[in-house]
Amino acid sequence: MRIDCHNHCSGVRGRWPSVEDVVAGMGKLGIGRTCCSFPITRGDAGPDDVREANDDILGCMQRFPDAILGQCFVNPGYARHAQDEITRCVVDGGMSGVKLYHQYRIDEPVQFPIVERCIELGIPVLMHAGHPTTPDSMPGQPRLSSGEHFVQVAGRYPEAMLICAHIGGGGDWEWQLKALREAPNVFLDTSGSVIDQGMIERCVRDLGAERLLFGTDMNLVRGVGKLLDARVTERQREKVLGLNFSKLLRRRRI
Amino acid sequence: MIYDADMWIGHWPFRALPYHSATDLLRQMDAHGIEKGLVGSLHGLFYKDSHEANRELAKELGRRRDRLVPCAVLNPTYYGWEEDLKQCHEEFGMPVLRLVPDYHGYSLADHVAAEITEAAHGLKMRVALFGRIVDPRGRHPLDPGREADGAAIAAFLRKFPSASFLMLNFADSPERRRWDEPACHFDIVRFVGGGGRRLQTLIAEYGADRLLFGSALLMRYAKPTLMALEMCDLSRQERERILWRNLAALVAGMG
Repeated sequence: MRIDCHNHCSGVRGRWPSVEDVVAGMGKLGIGRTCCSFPITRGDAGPDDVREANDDILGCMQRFPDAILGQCFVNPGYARHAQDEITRCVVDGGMSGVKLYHQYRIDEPVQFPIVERCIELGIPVLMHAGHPTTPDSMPGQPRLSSGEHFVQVAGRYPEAMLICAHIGGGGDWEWQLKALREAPNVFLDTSGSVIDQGMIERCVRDLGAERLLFGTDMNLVRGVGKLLDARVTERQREKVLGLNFSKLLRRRRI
Repeated sequence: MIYDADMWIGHWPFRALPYHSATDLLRQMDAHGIEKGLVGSLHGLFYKDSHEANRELAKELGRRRDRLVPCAVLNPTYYGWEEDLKQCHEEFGMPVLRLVPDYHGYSLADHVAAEITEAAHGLKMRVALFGRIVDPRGRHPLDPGREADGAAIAAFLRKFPSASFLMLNFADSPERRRWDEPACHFDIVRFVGGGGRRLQTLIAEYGADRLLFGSALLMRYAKPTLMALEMCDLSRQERERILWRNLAALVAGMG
């Protein structure tokens, strides 16, 4: 089964892509399940907003229980609330993992309690990431996590299931690959709008198919198309498209 | 039948491409069922004398002209472009001139851009403009390429009210609505989002007559663009127009 480890949706039109559209797209592209979150990408991302965002995802999960796997978005800066949200949404609500955005970099100490909680629960952490090549290329993300930041936190928590988001999300994906070679316990998702020829083959060559997770991040056709187009073995493709993430989900302890 | 408006061969100086040659391109085309394509030389963006890349391209495509149609890349600020353009058309049989102002150090507002465009039209060549060559978010610090400025494009197009331009690798943008005149033809390579819905919307807005299939091979994967088109609800006639008929009509008798 194809499992998309990185996507977004909303039950309210005009926010993220509507859950109806996401589910319809999944059907056309043979995607069985999709991990969706509602990260707050601007402003403070305070507790009320975070709770409302996660409520939206919980609603989507209820409406499409076979298709939507929720991911709990938290802002680690509100430490107590973040832990409470993980309890509410993951332990009680059945979400599959935690989603972190660029409020903080992955290697900042404020993230450590979140990572430790995810280790305890046996769930993955999907971290927004990228490596801008020039100051003007990805503005407004001063705390964007790059590959080298994952190396730091992966060394501190070798048992964590960290996912570096969207190799095709813009920025220098070759940099990300070189850095992540130093962090063998970090997974990489293949999502994003970038469909540079050879990108998937390089991911497989440099990290191994076992560390790659299929994702779309709202680019469903590109996400599936680049994997189908890549010159990799069918076994490698199957691993990336779903087998690897299925394994991660089975490590859940709750 | 698929006729691709947006193909390149050669090396890109800022990233190791897995495929480079005309033979590589033909293999990729065969794998995707693409019968024919307009092909430019990536080297032409970087050589001081870009016409040397046109010579190389014409030589490399050689006997494969039935499937690979060479396109000129010229720098209108470089000495002798007028003669080079004539050679591209008359000797090399190139039906399209690709302009890449960012890479050749001028802007579309400069008089040279209008001059070479008029000259190309005088020779009955089509002119292609690009929204971008690569995603600038990951560009090399020495790569001058940027996302095209919609207002500058619109101002340039207004100088040629009766001409048809090939608009390649452009993204959806509010500025696009200003390009209604003249009759521009857009390739679809960057309209593959939303599970095919963006492309469907574009077709509804512009009509199938204004759209061209483009893959950006050998720079990008071709499969997503093909898949997006497959997912659209189109009549056979609409699909054929986008896949090949529109481009075939645009370049008919021009090479």
